[in-house]
Amino acid sequence: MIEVRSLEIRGSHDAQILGGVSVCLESSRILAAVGGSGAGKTTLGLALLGFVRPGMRKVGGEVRYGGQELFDLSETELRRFRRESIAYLPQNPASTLTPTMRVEDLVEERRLAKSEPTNQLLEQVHLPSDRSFRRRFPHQLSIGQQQRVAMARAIANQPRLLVLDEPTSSIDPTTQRLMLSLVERLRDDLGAATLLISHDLASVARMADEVVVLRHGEIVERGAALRVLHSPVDSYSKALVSASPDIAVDQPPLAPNTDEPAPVLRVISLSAQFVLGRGRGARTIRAARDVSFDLAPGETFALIGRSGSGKSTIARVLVGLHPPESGEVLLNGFSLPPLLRRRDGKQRAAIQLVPQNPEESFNPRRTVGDGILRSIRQTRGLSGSAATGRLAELLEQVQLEPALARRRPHELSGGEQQRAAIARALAAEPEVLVCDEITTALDTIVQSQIVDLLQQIQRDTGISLVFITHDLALAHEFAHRVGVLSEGKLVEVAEMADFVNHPQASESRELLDAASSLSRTLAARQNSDDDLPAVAAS
Amino acid sequence: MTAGLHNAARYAIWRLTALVATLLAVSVILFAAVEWLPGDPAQQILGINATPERLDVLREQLNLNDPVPVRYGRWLWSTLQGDLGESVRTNQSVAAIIARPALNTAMLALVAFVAITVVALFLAALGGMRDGTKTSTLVSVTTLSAVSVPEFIIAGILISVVGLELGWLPAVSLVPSEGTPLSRPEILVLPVISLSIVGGAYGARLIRAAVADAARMPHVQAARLAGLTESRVLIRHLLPSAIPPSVQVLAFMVPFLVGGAVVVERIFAFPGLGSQLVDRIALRDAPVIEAIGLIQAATVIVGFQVADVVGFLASPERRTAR
Repeated sequence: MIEVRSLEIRGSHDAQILGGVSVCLESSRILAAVGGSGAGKTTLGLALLGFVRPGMRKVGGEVRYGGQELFDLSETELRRFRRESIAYLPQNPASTLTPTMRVEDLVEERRLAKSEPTNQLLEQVHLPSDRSFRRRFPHQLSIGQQQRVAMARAIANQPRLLVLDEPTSSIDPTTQRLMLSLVERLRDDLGAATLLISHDLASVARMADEVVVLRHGEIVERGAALRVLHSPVDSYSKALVSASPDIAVDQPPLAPNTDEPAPVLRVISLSAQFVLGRGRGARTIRAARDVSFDLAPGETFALIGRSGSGKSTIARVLVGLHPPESGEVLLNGFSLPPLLRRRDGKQRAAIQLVPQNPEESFNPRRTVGDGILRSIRQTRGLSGSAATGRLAELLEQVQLEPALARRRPHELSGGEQQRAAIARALAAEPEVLVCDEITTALDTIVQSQIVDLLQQIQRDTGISLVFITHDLALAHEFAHRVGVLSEGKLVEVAEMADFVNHPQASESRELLDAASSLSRTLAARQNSDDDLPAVAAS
Repeated sequence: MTAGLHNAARYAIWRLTALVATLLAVSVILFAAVEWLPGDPAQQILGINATPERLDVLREQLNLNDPVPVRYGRWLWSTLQGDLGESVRTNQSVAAIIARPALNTAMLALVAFVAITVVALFLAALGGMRDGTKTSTLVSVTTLSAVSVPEFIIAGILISVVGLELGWLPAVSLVPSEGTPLSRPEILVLPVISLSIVGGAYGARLIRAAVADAARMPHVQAARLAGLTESRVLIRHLLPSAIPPSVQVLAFMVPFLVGGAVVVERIFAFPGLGSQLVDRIALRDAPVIEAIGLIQAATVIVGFQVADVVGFLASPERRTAR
């Protein structure tokens, strides 16, 4: 239906973004493009809309729809193609909603004469269709509702082509299932062809018929989805598959803390709230309610929960950035002052935070090495050659090339930035490292490298980790214990192995069901797809 | 809906209170500033040869011997009752002195404001929609040149070329003694063009930035990828986000037109408020200076209030916030 032939796209300084990529989207089929960040997946997806982002240009190849080269179309013809034939959902679907437009206008403007009425479109994405809902503005919707409106808007033109760019990365499991069913309906009713861009291999395994693996703008492997994901041939594909976190793969038992040493950190009945908005319209959000847990030396405690469950607030309270409403944090048995400015140097150094977005946490005008040095000077009082010597040690510890420390934060990749942020935290020689969603923005291969690094550091230094994440499958690979947060409450605390096999709280069971598992999904698909016997063995 | 109305009512009350408070503050500053103008009004009126006795009598007549707060209170009280007092130079009522210039300026400013808005929005949309294109660069360069040239040069060129050389339009904008600028609209053309070249270019530069910011938002790219026409992308998706910052920029045109147009008024011999003010400052005519100052301040404050209200109404997020 749409064919990409030897597509070459270059960016600034003639850097290769796509180097001769050929794919073919067939009617009623779902093709997945997988690969790490920077592989050119999004560029490929946008090329299907006849679009090249500013700063990039197409230097060769073609994108043909119905025999017509998209990049030769006039503006009017291209607009007509986008309007009538294709739908695009970017990584953050809610961001496509214009804040000054009402729900009904957003859906209505994408409808064509043949489309279903707006009411039905809203019902298809399980949204209310009454007048008061249709008259709302995006900011009056929950994030999940915003994503659904974006979906209704995307499918309002009954597209025959669908480009989904990392659709699941910001979406909760219920909305994910809804999106999957919408894609299936478009495929079955209209014979729509789909390009699914993702680094979440489990969701690819669930949906895709075929897979192409992209690396540095080139296809390194292609084939039937189950074959590629089950027994990849290319070494990069293999790395990608093995780096994919999998809740169903048993982890080797982690060294247990049998001697039960005194906990390095005790959190006792911690409650915290924050105020959203200003003035009389302000709302108080209770982000943590009566949260208690212990952290043993050398232990990794995973704090799991959906977005909005209070994870980040707890992290901020631990490091003293947010005042708790009540409760206590004990460090080695001594109560910590709630606020950072009341903690002494030793107490500050003892608990260090690695933030979610490392790039923003470094001064953009200084090198990351300067940022780490600053922490060395402030927390350890070192200067001159002692400080630079320590910097070299830290860089080695986080496996970061010394040359990279002379760069500014935006000149580093996401993984390198995160290593630098970890080095900066380690500069204080802390006893506890609080990691707040530090792997969320990274692709799976880099994720697993960061997790390996944290484990290595823990073995070497005996540091304790509070690992905050929404990715249970990833946490289960290396956390000793887990705590499940739901609406600010810690609903379950358990050893990871027990938790995976015998979850107690209903929230825990939901998280486990939703947790990514490539092997489980592959097995389920193999059972239903009898026409793929080749993969069933092994 | 009711939440929105309730919100709007609360917002309106808050705004009106702020407006009154600002005007009061301005009146204090204005009165104090006129008070501190160098020179004794009595001396100014009677000349340097006046005897001390006559000066004392006149000071008493003008109430200049009362303490400043008392005189401020008296002035404020009569102003609130609509009595702007009399000129200390001509004994004419201040209202009579400033009525015609105020009307003239109001007409010039209104026409120029509309022209500036049109010019600024058009250039801003042209330059901001697609950042980095040739059109965008051309708009930037042109507007920068227009902003850099002082308005008296632009006005001078217009007078000598359009007014004198070609003779198409009057080079001097004298208002007929029985009538308003509208009875001879052609006299407004050159002043309006001078003002809108400078003001429009200045506004276009600032609004262009707001439009360019809005054009980079993900929902605008999404609207283009959704195959909507460029005009729909502009009108429904892009410009609404640019309205609040743009009206703030346009509000800055009000002080420019009401008070700052004095250079243009002078060059075209247009009998406006700005010219009148400069004349009266030279004469130390305190009641007239205070009255004009207050009118200008009130217009400017109302202009910014209107901009805030438009910005509020244009932002659903603020309008419907709970």
